[in-house]
Amino acid sequence: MISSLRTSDEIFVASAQRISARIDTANRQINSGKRIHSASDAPDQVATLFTLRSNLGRMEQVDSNLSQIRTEVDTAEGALQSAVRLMDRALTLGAQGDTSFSNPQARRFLADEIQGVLDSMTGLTQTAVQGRYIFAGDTDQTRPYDTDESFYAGSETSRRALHPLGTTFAIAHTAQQIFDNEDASRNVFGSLRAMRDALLADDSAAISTAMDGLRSSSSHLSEELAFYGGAQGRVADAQETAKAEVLRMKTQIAGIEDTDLLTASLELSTATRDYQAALQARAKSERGSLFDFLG
Amino acid sequence: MSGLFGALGQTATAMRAFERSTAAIQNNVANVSTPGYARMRHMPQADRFEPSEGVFGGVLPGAVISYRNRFTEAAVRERTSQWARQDQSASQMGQLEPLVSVTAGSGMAGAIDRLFQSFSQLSVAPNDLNARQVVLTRAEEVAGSFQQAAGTVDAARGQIDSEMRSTVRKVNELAARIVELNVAKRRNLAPEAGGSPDSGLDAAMHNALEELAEHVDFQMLEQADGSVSIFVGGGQLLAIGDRTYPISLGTQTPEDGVQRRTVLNSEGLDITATIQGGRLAGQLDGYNRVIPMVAADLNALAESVAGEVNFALQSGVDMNGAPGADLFTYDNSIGAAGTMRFSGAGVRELAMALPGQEGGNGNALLLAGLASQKQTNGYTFGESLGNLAGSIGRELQGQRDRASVSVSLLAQAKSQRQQDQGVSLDEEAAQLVAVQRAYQAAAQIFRTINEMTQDVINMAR
Repeated sequence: MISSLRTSDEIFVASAQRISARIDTANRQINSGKRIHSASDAPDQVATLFTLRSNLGRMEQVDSNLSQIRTEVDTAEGALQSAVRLMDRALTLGAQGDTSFSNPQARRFLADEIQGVLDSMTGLTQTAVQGRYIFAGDTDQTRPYDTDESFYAGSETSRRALHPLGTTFAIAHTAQQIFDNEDASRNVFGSLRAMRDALLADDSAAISTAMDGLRSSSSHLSEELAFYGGAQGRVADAQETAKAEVLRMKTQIAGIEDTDLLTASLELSTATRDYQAALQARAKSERGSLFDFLG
Repeated sequence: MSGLFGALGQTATAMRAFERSTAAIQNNVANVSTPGYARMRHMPQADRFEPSEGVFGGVLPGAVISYRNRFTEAAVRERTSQWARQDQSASQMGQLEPLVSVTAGSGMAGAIDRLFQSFSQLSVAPNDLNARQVVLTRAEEVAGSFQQAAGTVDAARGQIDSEMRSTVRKVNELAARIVELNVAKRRNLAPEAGGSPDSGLDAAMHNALEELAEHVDFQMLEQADGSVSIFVGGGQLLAIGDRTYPISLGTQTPEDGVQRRTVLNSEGLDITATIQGGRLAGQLDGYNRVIPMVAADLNALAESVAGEVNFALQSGVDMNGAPGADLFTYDNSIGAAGTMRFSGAGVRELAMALPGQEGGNGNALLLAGLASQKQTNGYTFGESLGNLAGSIGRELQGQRDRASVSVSLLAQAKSQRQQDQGVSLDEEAAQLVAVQRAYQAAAQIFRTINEMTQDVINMAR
């Protein structure tokens, strides 16, 4: 563009604008705490920054997921603890009915108690977290067992939890697996029904056989409890890993985008001093011409 | 006696010569800040001195010469063209920088990350209708962010196109102005006009040339009559004598379907490749190379995101056990980014389970995993966006650095021109004192000769 400024003035203005831009940049970095506001501030680091942020977001989501999963797993573990205690009570009741001192009336009473245990077990299958039946497999909106504990309304479980390192791990068994297993020696409902029926029939031999069934079912419940204990451990380990990764990524991101306050402050004071010096030097360099000295 | 009268006449002629010198100095001082002005100097000539033949010498008014240096003028124009091109490119790239925001969580990067995080969240409770609705909302955000980015590219393209039309118009206006000045210069140098150069016309001509250099690079030929001929780019005639040959803008659509702008000479021939300097060169580069490159990267990314997500959804089953519905629609022929839309799929149509595992989260985990999966270009979505931002930032930083260097080089060239042909008040003051003293001396001689003449007349009485 055509300018009527002297060339020396144009050079001074351009230099002053460059110093002013340095002041603006330093001010912006100090005020915002961020070194990078646009891609041109650090073009070679922007790609890394984007990748780290994406990974951080993903990891934070995984951590949040694991917190939800932990609630489910803890709740399931608690339900299994209750189931184990119920089974212990059933074993006690069965043992009482298995003695020669028991009479038909007493055995009928014990049978009612066993039915109570069975009902409580059925109730445990309907354990829910945030409206989801955690033992219903993939169909978590459906009660696995209603009043009829012989009909499983849920489905298989295929769900897995995502580990921060990208793998997945199992976190749940179905109510059918836990309480109504195909293997008769592991079928909690079956063993309780067998004991109830034996007590009602006042059949000592059947009661003894049912006791064996209760013991093997109790063993199975303990294994299921151990599974959920293991799941809790895996979730806790995954959460620890996620948190460590989140911290690592945040540190890396801060290293890239956060302002180095010392450097920015020094730059600000240096640029401000340079600007004032340039203005003062320019003011002093203004002189007239020989015409000023001619009479 | 005749010698005395002759001396009187010669002294008067000398004083006339000194008056012209003073006028030239006065003109220089008056035009010290006039853009395009080159200092002028009156060059008096010594007359023949041969007293034996009765020729008594003296000083005659001479020519007024201009100190204009063609080479430094050409250097300023060349640097101006270079600076203008760099400045234009930096300005254009600056318009594209907001395309990929580096603020955490914002823009396309933030929207894409949130979409895949919503898949991850849904993997915990794949039948949760609220969580499914969040996925649909995030999908709308992603489509919106790509549309906005495409809009930014289109706006930048439109801005450059508008500036290009303005530049071409300006080039043709300046060519017309130069032609007017050519005619005026010829008229000024004609014998009936006195034949002396006009410093005002000269300054106006060089201003017009310098302004033209900002818009387009050109070569100039100066004719004997003071007029100039202008050839843009690699030798395309723009103006000669009293005629202009205007340039215009054309359009070309090559195989890739992306419209390109061309510059046509007055005969309609494509001279785009010959334009290498000035704002027009920067605008052509921006419109024909930079914008299509950025748009292509953006469209490729949009197609990749939408395509991969849709494919994964089609491979799974929804809450009804049917293959999943697409989440996005787009039109590749127009541009995936600008046409990307949320498909309008319902919450139950999202396929979060694998076939045979209705209600499961297998497909949700696969979809969440897309965020960290390398795509066909070898990069994840986040890396691709980062690379796009980085390339824009690098290009912009480079353009700004080059523009800064160009400013310094232009200033150097102008400084050299100032030294060669500018007006120095100190020099003019010294010249004025010298001319004033010479005038005073001549006046003193005139007085002395006058007294001598009077004495001779008195003797004759």
